[in-house]
Amino acid sequence: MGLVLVGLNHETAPVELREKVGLNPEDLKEALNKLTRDSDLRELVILSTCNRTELVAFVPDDDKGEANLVSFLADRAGVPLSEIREHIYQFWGLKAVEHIFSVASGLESMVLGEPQITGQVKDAFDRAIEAGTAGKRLSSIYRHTIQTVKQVRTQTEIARNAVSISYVAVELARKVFGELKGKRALLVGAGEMCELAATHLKERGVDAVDVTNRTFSRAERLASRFDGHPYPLGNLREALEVADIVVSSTGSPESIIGKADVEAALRKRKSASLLLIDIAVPRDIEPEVGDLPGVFLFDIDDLQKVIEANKEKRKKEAEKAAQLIARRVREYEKWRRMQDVNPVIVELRQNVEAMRKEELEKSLKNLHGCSEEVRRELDRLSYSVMNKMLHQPITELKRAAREENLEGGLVSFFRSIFKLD
Amino acid sequence: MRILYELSVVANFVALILFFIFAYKKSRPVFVAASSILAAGTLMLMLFLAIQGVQHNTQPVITPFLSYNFLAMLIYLLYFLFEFRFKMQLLGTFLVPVGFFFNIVSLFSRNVQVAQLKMASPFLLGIHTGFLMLGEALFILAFASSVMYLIQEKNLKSKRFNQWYSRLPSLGKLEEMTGLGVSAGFPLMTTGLLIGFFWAAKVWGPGWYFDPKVIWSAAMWVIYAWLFYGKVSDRIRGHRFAVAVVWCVVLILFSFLVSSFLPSIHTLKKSYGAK
Repeated sequence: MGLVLVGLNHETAPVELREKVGLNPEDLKEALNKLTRDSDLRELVILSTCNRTELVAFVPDDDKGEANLVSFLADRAGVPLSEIREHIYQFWGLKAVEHIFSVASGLESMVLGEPQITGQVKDAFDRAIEAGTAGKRLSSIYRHTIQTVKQVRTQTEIARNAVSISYVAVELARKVFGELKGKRALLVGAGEMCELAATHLKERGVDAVDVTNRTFSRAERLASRFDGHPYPLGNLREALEVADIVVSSTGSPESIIGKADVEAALRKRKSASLLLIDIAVPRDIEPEVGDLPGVFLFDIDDLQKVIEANKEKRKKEAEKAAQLIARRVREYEKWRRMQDVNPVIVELRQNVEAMRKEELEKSLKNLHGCSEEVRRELDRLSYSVMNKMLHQPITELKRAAREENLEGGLVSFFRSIFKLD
Repeated sequence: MRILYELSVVANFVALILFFIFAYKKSRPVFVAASSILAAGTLMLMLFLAIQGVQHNTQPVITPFLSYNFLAMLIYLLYFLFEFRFKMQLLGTFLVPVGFFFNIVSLFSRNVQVAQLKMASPFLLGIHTGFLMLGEALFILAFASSVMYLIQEKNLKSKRFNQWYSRLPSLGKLEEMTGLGVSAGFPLMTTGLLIGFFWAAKVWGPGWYFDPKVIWSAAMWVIYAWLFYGKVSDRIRGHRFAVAVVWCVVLILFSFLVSSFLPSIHTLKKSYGAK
């Protein structure tokens, strides 16, 4: 029984093909059932996101199994097999396991280290378990995958540094203030970027997000969503006096926040730090504002610089993560081999135990009227002899399972010499 | 017992080097090694000071040599306490050199044998020095975090998103630590000074307040009182607070060193009391 993985992703296939092959949750259950029913697949999981569709299956015949999976993708895409083969990748055995670990850890993602993919992998396995297409083998891979992802997240910093504008805004706020609990943010403009930044800031503990906007009703709506106050644009100075973090993104052709505005606010702020993030082009905040003491001003280019630096850090961390994954694959393989030999060991012990009991009974019948103490001693003696005789072969079998690729040879040999089923 | 002291200096020096290496190459094993070696060095220093105290039946702060080492020990202990509380790792790179500086300064301090001293009210003198040292150690901690604050602030202001930017803690955290150092250090320093004045009045008699060290200490206290007030009233914050702390600590260290190396009325003869 072999493991095979067939898939396509944002690097191998254009979006036109990915969108045809992709499966929504409703289609997924049907596809799982259909594929396992019509093909010779023993277990199957399908991962389908906007950037990738991957099918993972245990198959009795590697080539036939792979052909079935590729056909399925070609059918969904409505293209000939030869064409789909130009856009897919395949992995077998441990390479497939390594690929699953890498995908779930975000190493294969468009944004390196992004955490959403872990949830998507979890969903894919959960759906397969629900549909009854993920059995013992795939469930164990799933378990190992989740453990690997946890290790990658805790032992590397692959997901630590922000790589989107809104997250960088949060990262900068945390660099200035540390804890964001008790801080107040102000959005100047009520566009999508501001809203996204406000969502992240609120998630990270900011108490309230005030909003000022040309269209006051929009400011009111957004402020109520983030427990803040709406301000007419004319009352900007008043809003600046209480804000710790300002995110500005308006479509104004001229500056909205000038040096004089911030200076006036600072006088009422008792030198408390003020972080200003200007993501508008043309800029909303006069660059001279950044020269004021206690004021930290970042424009869109600065944020981009942070993103580039963080991407580099993620690349370095990805190397560490890849090493960790390689180690985890080896551990998985050891564990899997042990699963092969464990039933043999159990069966062997059961058989020998049955033999021991049979022989013990015979001996006890021959020893008419022996005392309870003699019975116990014979039982102990036979049990001890059995354990001592089995100890070495079992230890050797376990060692061989851990250290060598048994390929079933030693297990079969074991079964034959001990006459196991 | 001198061997304990010497081993401690060697251990602290190795820890200092490792903290510098850690600053340039982020490596968890290097950090763990630096902290462990420093812990061993601090423990040996504590033992050395305790033995000195027991042997001479007095507090181990009554000679310049012992007091500098006592201060170094307090700085190392504060490192562990604040590292445990704030987990900023780079604190060692900034704080341990100051501690080690006092280890080294102690080697050049006046060689006074404890056994030769015949002090008036040695207990009061010990308490006075102990409180002052603890207050100074806390100010030195505030100094280290202020230096880190100024570096991180410079990174943010000049938009340098380098290794130091990533590894130094947030300004908020650093300001909190500086604030803690000043808020805890000032009452201890005040207590130490009051006890010292009381002791001086008792031992030196009238005119004790004309001693330059006493006047200098009082001036220092006024500066720290201003800093303390600025902190608790939130009137001095951020950059200004960090700069003020750095200058104050530089001044107090200067006064501490100058008073120890230059003769004044606060001399050994007078302090240790020759009757």
